Amino acid sequence: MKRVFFLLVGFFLFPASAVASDYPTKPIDVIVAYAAGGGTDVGARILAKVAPKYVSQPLVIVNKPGAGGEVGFMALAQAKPDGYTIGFINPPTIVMLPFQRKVGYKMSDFKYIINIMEDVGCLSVRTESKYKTLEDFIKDARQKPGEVTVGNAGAGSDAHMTAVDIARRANISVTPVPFKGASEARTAVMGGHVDAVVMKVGEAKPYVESNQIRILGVAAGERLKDFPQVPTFREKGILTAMTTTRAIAGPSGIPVAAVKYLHDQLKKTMEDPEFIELTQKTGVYVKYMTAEEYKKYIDGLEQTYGPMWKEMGKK
Amino acid sequence: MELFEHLLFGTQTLFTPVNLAFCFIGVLMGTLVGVLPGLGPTAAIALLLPATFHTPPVASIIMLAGIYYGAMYGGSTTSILVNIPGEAASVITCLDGYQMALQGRAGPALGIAAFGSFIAGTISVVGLMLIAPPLAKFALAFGPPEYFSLMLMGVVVLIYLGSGSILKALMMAVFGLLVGTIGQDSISGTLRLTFGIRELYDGVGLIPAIMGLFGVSEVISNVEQAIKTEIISAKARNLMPNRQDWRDSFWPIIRGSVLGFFIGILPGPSSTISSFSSYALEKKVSGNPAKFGKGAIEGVAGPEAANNAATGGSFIPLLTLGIPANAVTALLLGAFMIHGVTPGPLLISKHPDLFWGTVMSMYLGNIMLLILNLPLIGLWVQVLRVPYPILFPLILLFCLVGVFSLNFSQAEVGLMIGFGAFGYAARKFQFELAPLVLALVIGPMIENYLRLSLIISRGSPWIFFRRPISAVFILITLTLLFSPFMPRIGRSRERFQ
Repeated sequence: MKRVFFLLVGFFLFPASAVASDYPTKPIDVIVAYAAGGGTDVGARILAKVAPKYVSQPLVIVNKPGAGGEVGFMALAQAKPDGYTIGFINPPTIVMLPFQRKVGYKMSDFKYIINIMEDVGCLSVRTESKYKTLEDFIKDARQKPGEVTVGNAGAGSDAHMTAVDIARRANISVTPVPFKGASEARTAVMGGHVDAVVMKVGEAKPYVESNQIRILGVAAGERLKDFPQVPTFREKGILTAMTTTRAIAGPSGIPVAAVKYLHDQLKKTMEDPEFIELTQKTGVYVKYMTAEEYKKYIDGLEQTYGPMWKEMGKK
Repeated sequence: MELFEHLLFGTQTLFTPVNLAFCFIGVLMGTLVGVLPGLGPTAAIALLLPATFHTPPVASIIMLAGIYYGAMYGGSTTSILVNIPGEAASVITCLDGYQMALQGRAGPALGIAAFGSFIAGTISVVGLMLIAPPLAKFALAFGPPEYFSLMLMGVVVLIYLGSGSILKALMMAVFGLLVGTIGQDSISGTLRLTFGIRELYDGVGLIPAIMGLFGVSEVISNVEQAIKTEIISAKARNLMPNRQDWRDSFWPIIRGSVLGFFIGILPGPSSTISSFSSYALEKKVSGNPAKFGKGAIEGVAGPEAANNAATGGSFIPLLTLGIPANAVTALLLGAFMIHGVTPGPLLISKHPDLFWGTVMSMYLGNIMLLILNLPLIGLWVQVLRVPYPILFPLILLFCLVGVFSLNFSQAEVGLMIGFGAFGYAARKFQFELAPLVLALVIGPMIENYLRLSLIISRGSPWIFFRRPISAVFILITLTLLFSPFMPRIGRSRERFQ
């Protein structure tokens, strides 16, 4: 009886303490839902490069591209919740996919750990464009409804949704043109094949610096440090917001101790000057959010984009 | 001479031990990933990128660029030896390269591919150096309507690819177009022909299709006829191209280089399209088109030169505008940014060491590649002496591992095997595979650009005729299409049948 008791005590105590003090005892897989070389992948590899200063085991990047990210998100949702498989989640894509079609995961399959990076949306034109300000653009679009073309990164992408949202809130009508990826859309606006483009500030920044592209407005809460002269849409009375984030999450049953360990150590990694420098050079911003803040953000996205997509489908 | 000063400056930058070493590592890695089927420069650069975070920017870019053009050198090797293209750009090299190997002329085929690549590489670097900035504007002039018309012209090229029945070639092309529609429609997001199979949502991958159609089906059909081995090894004598080979290949290499360079400037799968176009061009201008597909050295020299020149061409929009032409240059763009360098109009004036250092490294890299590849030819030809019972299981293994390593997807491995079975059946009934591959590459792009153009023009097809560049392409397409009905040009067409 006594032996059974100790066994039971050991059974309950040991795994708990193992997770608390020993975790991690082996390398941790980090699923990236996109191919090697994409934005998320490069960001993940920067994280894996700097993390060993704080995380006692290496982070191993595992690329699982496919179905616009769904394959990777599903792999994360269905991973064994032992703390040794975590992954990057990419809203608003991960939120948009379930509205667009039947998918193999739901948002409650994930346990958010920490948000790492953020990028905000902007409306841009080429330098030669006649639109010098946001007002020019809106005025022109109002005069000839539907004739102004606005490129974006693809059907149902955050850039597409934002273009529709801007038009709706500014009470104008524009024609969204869904290219394959932000880079194609950007090239088209630089060549003058479309009138404007919605993309992320990180995607526009190098081209603004080389004087090829002008940002008319940013879809952020306040003006950006890098472009203090560019107004926000909010200032102009257009209450649109577009943020793209990259956060680390695990499958929903992941041990609490592992979540805490990863959150604390990855937070230190994010604050490391080397990490900040490398990340900013790729044009993305480091942005810390706790799991609770992140949940609120995701819920907000679901409430805005869900009804909007349905409405767009009716047209 | 300002240019001369720049070159001297670039040479100075390059000739430091670190930069030279990185250049060598780059081209060596490139050759390796090029030779291994399935593994491509994209994967190699992505995996090596973190390793360059702390090396000096110039050395890093020199190495990563070396991987890119080095891979183009290596890509033809397996096409020629065992009929398995390492990537889409070398599909066309299989047609005549493998026939040459069967005739015991693997050495000359590999040799001309290496020399052709060297010459094309050098021509494209000179082009990059002299006319980069003005040409960059040319890339921007291409919008959806121009791409649509260009691709439409590409479809007509299909007619010139086949050496057998035109009807069968068209059937394969239509099948390729159908396969190309599988996956999520990029304009509306609707899923097409996926039958709920998640792995098909992004469309049928080009690499699994190519490796199945060519690699797996080659293995299967060789199981039937294992006697061929002795014939090949008995005849594999001379390793270098002879004088006649050179005479036949000189102009195809020059034409391929110029063509490839200009197509390379345009964003898109330029190396694939350039090699297909070069093949069609050579067949069109040749006095004896009937020999294509039966081991014509022109059919190796031209396309191999074209895909290497396209690599040099694709650096132009990258360096001068910051526009990536394909997945590899997109990755290089990321590498530039991590090193604090913004590609664009200011790159040359802001970072002259990087621009001229990289340009000079490409000259030297091409020479290194030639020196590296020529002695390897003897070694590669030895591969053909490996008995088939050992060689073919190995090839199959390489195909399986290569495809799996792309996305770690079992479904794509299954897809490759499916295409293998299809490819085998197609061979049995004398259907050609190249039109299928070209249709698979071009089909989705044609559809995409057509629809984008019509969105931009709000439904009016006149957009294709109103824009000058697009109108020229449409005109050429129509001329090619109706040339069989015109007596003079028609005669050359008849000779294909």
